[in-house]
Amino acid sequence: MAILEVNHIEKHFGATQVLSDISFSLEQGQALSIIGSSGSGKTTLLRCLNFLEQPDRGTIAVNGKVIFDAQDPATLSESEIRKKRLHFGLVFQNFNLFPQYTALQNVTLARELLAKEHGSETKAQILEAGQELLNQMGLADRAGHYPHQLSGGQQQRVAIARALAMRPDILCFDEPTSALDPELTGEVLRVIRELAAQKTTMIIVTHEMNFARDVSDQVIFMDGGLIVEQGDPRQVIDHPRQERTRQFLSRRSDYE
Amino acid sequence: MLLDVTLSLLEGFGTTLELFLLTLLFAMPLGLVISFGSMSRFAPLRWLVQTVVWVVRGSPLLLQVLIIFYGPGLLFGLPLLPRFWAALLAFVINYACYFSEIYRGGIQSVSRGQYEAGQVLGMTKGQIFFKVVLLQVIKRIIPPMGNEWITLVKDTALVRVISVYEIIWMGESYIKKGLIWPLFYTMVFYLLFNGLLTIFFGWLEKKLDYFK
Amino acid sequence: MKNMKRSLALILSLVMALSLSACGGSDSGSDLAYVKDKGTLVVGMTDFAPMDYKAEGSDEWIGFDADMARAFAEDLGVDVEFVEINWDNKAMELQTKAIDVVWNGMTLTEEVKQLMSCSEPYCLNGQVVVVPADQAANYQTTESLSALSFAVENGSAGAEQLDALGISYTAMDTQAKALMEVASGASDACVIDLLMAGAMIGEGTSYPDLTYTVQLNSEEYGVGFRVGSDLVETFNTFWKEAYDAGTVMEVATTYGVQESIIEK
Repeated sequence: MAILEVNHIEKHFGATQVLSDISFSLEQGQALSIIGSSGSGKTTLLRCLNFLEQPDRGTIAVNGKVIFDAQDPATLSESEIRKKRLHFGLVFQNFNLFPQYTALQNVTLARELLAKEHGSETKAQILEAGQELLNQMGLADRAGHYPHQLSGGQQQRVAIARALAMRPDILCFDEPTSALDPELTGEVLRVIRELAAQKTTMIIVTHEMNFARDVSDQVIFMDGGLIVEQGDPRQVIDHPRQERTRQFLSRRSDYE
Repeated sequence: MLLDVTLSLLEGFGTTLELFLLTLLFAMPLGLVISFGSMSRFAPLRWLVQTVVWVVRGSPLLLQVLIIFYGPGLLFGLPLLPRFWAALLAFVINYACYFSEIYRGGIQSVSRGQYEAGQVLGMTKGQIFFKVVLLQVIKRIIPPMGNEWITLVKDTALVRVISVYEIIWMGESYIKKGLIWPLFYTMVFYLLFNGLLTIFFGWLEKKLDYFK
Repeated sequence: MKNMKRSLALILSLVMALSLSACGGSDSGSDLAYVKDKGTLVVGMTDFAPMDYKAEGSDEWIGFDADMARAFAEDLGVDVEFVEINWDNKAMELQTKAIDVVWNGMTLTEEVKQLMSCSEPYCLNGQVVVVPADQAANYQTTESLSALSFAVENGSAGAEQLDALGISYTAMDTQAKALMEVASGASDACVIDLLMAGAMIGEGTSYPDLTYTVQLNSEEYGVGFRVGSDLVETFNTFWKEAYDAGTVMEVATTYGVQESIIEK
């Protein structure tokens, strides 16, 4: 059974339609890349999955259970959303780390607050898990550093650890390397590759075509709010069937 | 003589300090409430609050003090508030409005990404405000807040218009005895106190220097 | 600042005029009953020797007016409370019941008589020109004054006299500040009450280097009550009795103002 099923999502900003009839599914342990030019709606789609935007139509189901239905107000209440959004984790383009907390505190803050409500874990356990995640990100010795003391690549890796700390079913990346200097993208992409190798279920919005081809099990190409083409990465990226996909990829290769 | 004058000025400065501290005590939290009102998504409330803030910030504090003390009696024949409390009320309203604008600037300068990061981590609105946003706001409002506190210390001199005997009043009363220097001596009290405030805010700024 | 204060005074007197016309006269309750009921007579004054002032090192108000006010309160059977007020606000203080009476060597000008109900005059006074003693010889006539720069209390009887003479001046908020102007050299001369000049300038006073020359007018002091107050009659009766009993002259002699007291 698919871990994620998205059906007929539509989203308007005022009169502008930014998502039209988006449907796809994702299996447990798979990585899905979404490519497309800016303004194609791929970031909005990711934000819809994380409840930062509310689709006007359609449904989203996780593990066969509908967690969002535009027609059913019961799924839209604030407290409901708070629980459900923990199915997803989101890594932002601009990291959005909390500047007043150390790397480790950034990773553990939300989990500690949640544990306070449910009493599920002790603070020591959470700190240990947080340190473990930072180790995994290659940041063992950076736990006590504040965000402004870290490079962009290091900050983004802290942000990934922070998202993983909440143990989401599906981890989403919104152009995770776009805000980084070119020489810093490698370390972040390497971490995501490792996560893919460990069969972390992921959705990655990216401009890095080579990376998308290597790391994903499935690729979606979006244009004008529509899914134009989806399928095996080698097929979509190396042998696109649609004219629009071909045009997009040829423009990309100009400056890649 | 110097001792006599110093003691009498200290008595006036006690009133000045009392007004200063009580104004802060009430205006700091009230300002936060007003700033939420002026950022409310409910438009009529927002307009109402913004209009009040405009009126209060757009008119002289001296006039507000006079209106709050004499107004009830002049216009409606009501009994007056005690002089000090009328002065305090005017100051709290006036300064809460100024503080609200400082808070608003501070809150709005925190990027949306900070709220969204908190949201996707499953934090409640309250947790996001208190655990994520608040300290960043505090860091950003320290410089303008420091200015406002120092202005407040000096503004307390206005209340002598309704015969609240603060330090300048005490200093001026010596003019009638032919002594001019006590009035200028009051400046020492202001300078010393504002010096302390400057040091306090410098310390606070440094204290929050650990993040950017 | 001065202009702001002026326009402020204007606005407030407008507001007051409105409120006076709105409820003026119709204020049916007896002021005498109100004060007796309250148990305290609140006297509005300023630090103005020899009428109202504090002796060196003392916190108690004394002076001719202060002592007589105490006697009046006693006569009414109430306590007395002295409140030092901002002189510009005296009419507002009265009307809003922040104070019950203005009793502070107040000159009975047309303006004052409009804003309050006043007692019969009890003391004579005049406005005098104060200059540094070493220049006094040059300024003994009204004509010689036009060369001087003046400081005078805003809205005072002295200001009215200068207005009448067409002499411009800097307005201060108290007579004491006007004196300070002359003492510091900021202004050449000031106009203050004769009674005050007698007590505050010349040898053996706070301003030994100042003296007064021309007396511009004669005027009278009275006590101010709320418009329409029945305390006016009570006061006039009290004063007559106190005068007949010799109390008034006795107190006046204590403060050196016996020459100016009006015979009853």
